[in-house]
Amino acid sequence: MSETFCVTINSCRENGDKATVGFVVATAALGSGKDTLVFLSTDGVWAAVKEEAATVVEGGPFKPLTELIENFMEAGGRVIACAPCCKKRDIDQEQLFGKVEIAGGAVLVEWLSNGAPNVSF
Amino acid sequence: MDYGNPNAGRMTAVEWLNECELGRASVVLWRLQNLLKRWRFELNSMADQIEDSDDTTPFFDGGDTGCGELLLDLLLFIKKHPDGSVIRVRALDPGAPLEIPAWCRLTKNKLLESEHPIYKIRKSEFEGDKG
Repeated sequence: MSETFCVTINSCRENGDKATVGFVVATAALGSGKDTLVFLSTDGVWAAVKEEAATVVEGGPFKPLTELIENFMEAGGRVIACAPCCKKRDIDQEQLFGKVEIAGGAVLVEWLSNGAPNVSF
Repeated sequence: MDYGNPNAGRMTAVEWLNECELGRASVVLWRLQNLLKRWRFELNSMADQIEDSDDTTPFFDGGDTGCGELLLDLLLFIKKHPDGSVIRVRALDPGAPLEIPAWCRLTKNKLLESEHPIYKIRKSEFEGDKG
């Protein structure tokens, strides 16, 4: 059984529900002892932007997106935002949650190539 | 009396309840029944808490959290205890009967007892500290 896990999130502004559930599942993976990566791409990169994430509050039983992201990273989860997707949207590092990394597809490919299963939202 | 209307002269249920003593008594009984249900629920919760406080087994109360939040909190809790510890868990989430056993298999911890919403888990001596 793989000890790593990957969640790719491709929605946020267009569909906050998907971003929210994506981070809930990522937290479940982390809580199940998996070294977990969340890879944000296309519209999903907005989840890494603090001001944008603050607008996503789906309501009970889901916590606000900001809280989900901060709890996930605080517990050791890794979040990467797709570099060209950020560039296209004029998003820079200063707008992001502190621990979010900006990287290209190679990091995702490497993570998955090493055996991590992936679920996409 | 209007004989052309089949409903003429008939009382509605609400009118009947308001009019007759039996009706008013029924309303009182119904309210009393609801009150008893609430008391029973609160007493069961109190009984659980008393039982928990008497038990020396480490107790994790997941309340009504579920999925990611429940599992991450449970992992952080179990990490604080030495390998081989038995942990008592209460998880009210309706998904818990499937989630908790799956979590135990993933983390290699042993599910000793499962009677929703109470679960007993032994922390693995070899791999329970993983993650």
